[in-house]
Amino acid sequence: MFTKIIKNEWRNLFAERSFLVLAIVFAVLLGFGIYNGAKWIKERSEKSKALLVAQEKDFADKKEKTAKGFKGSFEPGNFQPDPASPYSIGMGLQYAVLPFSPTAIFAVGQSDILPIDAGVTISSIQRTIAAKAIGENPLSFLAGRFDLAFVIIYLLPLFILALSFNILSGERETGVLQILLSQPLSLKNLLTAKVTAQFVFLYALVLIVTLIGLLVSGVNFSAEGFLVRTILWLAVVFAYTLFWFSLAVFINSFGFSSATNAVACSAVWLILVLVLPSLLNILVSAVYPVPPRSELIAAERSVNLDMRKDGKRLLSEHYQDHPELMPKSEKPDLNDFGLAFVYVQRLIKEKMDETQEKFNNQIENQQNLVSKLRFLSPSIITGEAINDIAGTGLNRHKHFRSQVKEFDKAWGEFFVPKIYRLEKLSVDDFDKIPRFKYKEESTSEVSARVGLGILVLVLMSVGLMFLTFGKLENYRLE
Amino acid sequence: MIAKIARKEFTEYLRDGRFRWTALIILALLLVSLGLGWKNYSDTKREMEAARADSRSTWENQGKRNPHSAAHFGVYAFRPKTPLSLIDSGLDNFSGSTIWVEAHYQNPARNRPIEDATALQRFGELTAAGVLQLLLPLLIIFLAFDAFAGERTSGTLRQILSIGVKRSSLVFGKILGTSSALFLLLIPATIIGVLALALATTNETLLSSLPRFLLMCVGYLLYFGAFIGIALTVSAWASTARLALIVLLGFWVFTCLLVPRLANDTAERFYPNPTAEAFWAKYDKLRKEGVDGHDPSNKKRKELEQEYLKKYKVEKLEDLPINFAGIAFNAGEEFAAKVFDKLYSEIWVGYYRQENLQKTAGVLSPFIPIRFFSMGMAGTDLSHTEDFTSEVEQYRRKFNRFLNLNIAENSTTKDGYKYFGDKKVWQETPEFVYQIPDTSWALSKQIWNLALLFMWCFGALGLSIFEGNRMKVL
Repeated sequence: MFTKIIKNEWRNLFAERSFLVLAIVFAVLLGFGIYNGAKWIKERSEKSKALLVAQEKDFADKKEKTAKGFKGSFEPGNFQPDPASPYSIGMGLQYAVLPFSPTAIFAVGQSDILPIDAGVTISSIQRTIAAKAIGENPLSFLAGRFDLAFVIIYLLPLFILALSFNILSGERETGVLQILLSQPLSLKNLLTAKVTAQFVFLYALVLIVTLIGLLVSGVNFSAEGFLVRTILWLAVVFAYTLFWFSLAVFINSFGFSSATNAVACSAVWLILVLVLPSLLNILVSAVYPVPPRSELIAAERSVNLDMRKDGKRLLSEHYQDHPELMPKSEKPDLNDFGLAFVYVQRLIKEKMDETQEKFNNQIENQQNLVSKLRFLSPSIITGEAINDIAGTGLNRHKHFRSQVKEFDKAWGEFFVPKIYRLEKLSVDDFDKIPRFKYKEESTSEVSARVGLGILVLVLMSVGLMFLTFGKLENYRLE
Repeated sequence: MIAKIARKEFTEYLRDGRFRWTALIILALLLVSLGLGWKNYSDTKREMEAARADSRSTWENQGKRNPHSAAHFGVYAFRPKTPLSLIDSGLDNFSGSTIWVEAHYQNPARNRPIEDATALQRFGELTAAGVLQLLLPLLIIFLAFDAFAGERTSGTLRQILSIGVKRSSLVFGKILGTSSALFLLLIPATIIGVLALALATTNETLLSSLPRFLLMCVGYLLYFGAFIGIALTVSAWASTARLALIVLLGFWVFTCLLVPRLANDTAERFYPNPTAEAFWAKYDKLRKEGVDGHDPSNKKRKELEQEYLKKYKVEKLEDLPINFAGIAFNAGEEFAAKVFDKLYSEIWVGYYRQENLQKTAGVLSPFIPIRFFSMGMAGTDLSHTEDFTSEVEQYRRKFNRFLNLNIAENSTTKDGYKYFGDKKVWQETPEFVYQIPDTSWALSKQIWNLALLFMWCFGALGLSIFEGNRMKVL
C-alpha cells in the first residue's frame, strides 16, 4: 500500500503542469547558482595564481641580475633599484594566497569580503596597493549573490513549501482524503508515504542537478577533502530538506484550509529565513560591538614622526638599543632616509597590528556566539554549515590569518636585520626568502562543527514529526 | 457606494485576527528597525565627529616639518551619515566611510562596515526600508488575495453585483478598504519615523531632510499602490482564493528575491568589477607615457624649469626667489589629477553600467525602483557615494596646492627640503567640509525609478479595474 501511494503521488505530481514548470525553474536556478559560483572561483583563482607567478618571476629575475653582478641603475629616466636590496624586496608587497577549498563552489560566502590574498610587507600596509585597492561596486553586495548557497537556503524551502503546503488540506478540500481513508489505510501512513514521495523526488532533483553542475564546471573530484566535504554537504541539504517537509506537515496537521496553510508556511519561512537572522545579527553585534574603524586610523597616525627631522636621532637610538644590528664593516649613515623610513614604518606596523587584533578578536567573539545561536534558525545552521564546507566562511579564514601572521613575522625577520646591517642578498639568499604555503584546516574539525548542526536539524525535524503524529489523532476530515 | 464597500472591507480586516497579528508584528519590526537606525546614526555620527576632530588636531599639532612631508602624512576625510540613513542605510555598509587624503595619490574609500560582521549580516540587515520593501507587500498580499476570489467562492460576489453595484465601484471600494487598513499601520510608523529623525538631528538638518523624507513617502505609497493593484488583479482573475494566494506569493518571490539577485549577477558578468592590480598598472603606464600618449610628467618638468628661469630671468634654479620644489610638486599634482580623473571616471562608468542594468530590471519588479529610489532619497546610493569621493578629491587638490605653494613661496630652491612649516601653516590648511547634495539633485538622479514606480502603481491599479470589469461572477 505504502509504495502504491508513493507511486500514485509521483504520477499525480508529473501530471500537473504547474508543478513541472516549477520543478524546471528550480532546476535552472540551481544550475545558475552553480554556474555563478564556478565563475566566481575561476576569476579569483586566476587572479591569485597570476599574483604568485609574477612574484616568483620577479624573484628569479632579481636572482639572475644579482648573479650577473648588476647593482641597480641611477641613470635619470631609467631608475632601477639594486635587485639584491633587502629594502626594495621587503618593502614590496608579498602575497600569501588562500587557495579555494575543493568544494568552494557550494558558497561564495564571505570570500568577497575576507581577502584571499593577504599582502605581507615589512612596512605598514597603509602605503601599499592593498590599502589602495579599488573595491568592488558597493552595489554588488546589496542584493546578495546568486550562488548555490542562496538557492539552497532561500529557494529550496520555498519550493518544498510550494509542494507540500496543502499536502493534507488539498486532498481534504477535493474530497479525495475521505475516499482514501475509507480504505484500510491510516492517516499517518498516507501522510508519510506522500511526504516520502515528494522528499525523494526533490532530493533526487537537487542531487542530479548538482552532480551535473559539478561535472560541467570542472571541479576536481580527486582533490583532497573533496569527498568528505561533499558528503557533508549532501547530509546538510538532506537534513535541511527534511526540516522543511516536517514543518509543512506539521502546519497541515492543524487542519486549516489550504489558503491559511499557505499564509502560515510563508510567514514561518519569512521569520526563519529573513527576520530571525537579522535580529540575531543585531544581538551579536550588540554583545560584541566592533570598535569604530577610526581607531585603526588613529593607530596608523599615532606614530607621527618626520623622518627628515627626527630620523637621525631615532636611528642612532635604535642602533644603540640593538648593537647586533650594527653593520660589521662600515658605519651606517644616520641621515639615510630609507633607514629611518623602515624604522618608522615598523613602529606604525606594530601599532596597527595591535589594533587590528582588537577587531579580529571581536569578530571571532561574534562568530563564536553565532555558532551557539545558530540553533535558533535552521537557515542559520545551514548557512554556517555550507560556508564551513565550502571553506568560504570565517572559520577557515581565521585559520589562514594565523598562518599569514607567522609568515609576516618570518618575512620581517628575514629582511629587516639585513637592512639595518646594510647587507645585500646573496644569490643563494633568494632561495631562502620565506614563501607562504597554506596548510589546510583538518576536515575533522569541519566535520565536527557541521555534524552538530546536522544533528540539531534532524532532531528538530523528528520533533516536528512527533508533534504532527500526535495531532493527527484528532484530525477532522470535515 | 464606494465608501460603503471600503468601510465594509476595513471593518472586516480589523476583525480578522490574521491582519491584527501580522500588522502588529510588522509595526514592531518597524519600531525596532527605526530604533536601531537611530542608534546607529547617532553612534556613527558621534564617532565620526570625534575622529574628525582627532584627525584635525593630529594635523595641527604635528610640529615642525616640511609641508610636503606633512602632505605625505596627510589627513583623513570622513563620510558623514545622512539623517535619512536611519530609515534606509542603502550602500553605507558596503562603501568605504573614510578616505586618506595625501600627496600624489587619490585613494579609494576604505573601511566598509561589512568587513566587521559575521556571515549573519548576509541574511540582510534589519532596516525600516527593508521592512517596508519586503514585508509590507506580503501583508498586502495576505490582506487582499481573497478580496474577489473569496467573495466569489462564498457567493457574495453574485449577490452584490445583482443588487446593481457597479463593478468599478466594487474595485475602487476594495482599493480604498485595503489602503485604509494599511494606513492604520503606516501613519503611526511615519510619525515614529519623523520622531526618530527629530531626535537624531538638529532642527536645521531636520528641515533640510524633510523634502527628501516626503519624497521617500511618495515613493513608498506608489510601491504599495502597485502591490494593492496586483493583489486585486490576481484575486479577480484567479478562480479560487488558494490559486490567487499562490500566484501572489510566487510574484513576491520573483520580485523581491529572484530579480534583484539575478540582475546583480548578470550586471557583474556583463561589466566585470575592476581589479586593484589592473588599476595601478594602468596608473603607472599613464604616468610614464602621459595621459594622452605624449607629454609624460618628467618632460613637463623640464619645460616648467625653463618657464620659471625665463620668468625670473635667472640662469639656475638655485637663483630663483622661490622654491622650485614646490612648483614642481604642484605641477606633478596637476598632472596626476588628470591621470586620476581618467582612471576613476572609468571605474565609475563601470559601476553605473552595472547600476543601469539593474535599474532596467525594474521593468520586471517594482522592488527594484523602490529600492533605488529610497536609497537615493536617503542619500545612501551610488550617486551620493560618488559625490562624496569627488568632493574629497576636490579637497585633496586644494590641500596639496596649499602646501606646495607654501613651500614655493616661503623658501628658495637652495633650501630644498630644509624648510619647515609650523603650527600656523597647519592651522591655515583648508579643512574638509562635506555637504550632502540638495533634494533636487538627488531627485534628478531618480527620474527613471520614479517613472517606473508611477507606471507600476497606476498600471497595476488600472489593471485591477480592468480585471474587475471582466471577472467571472461564479
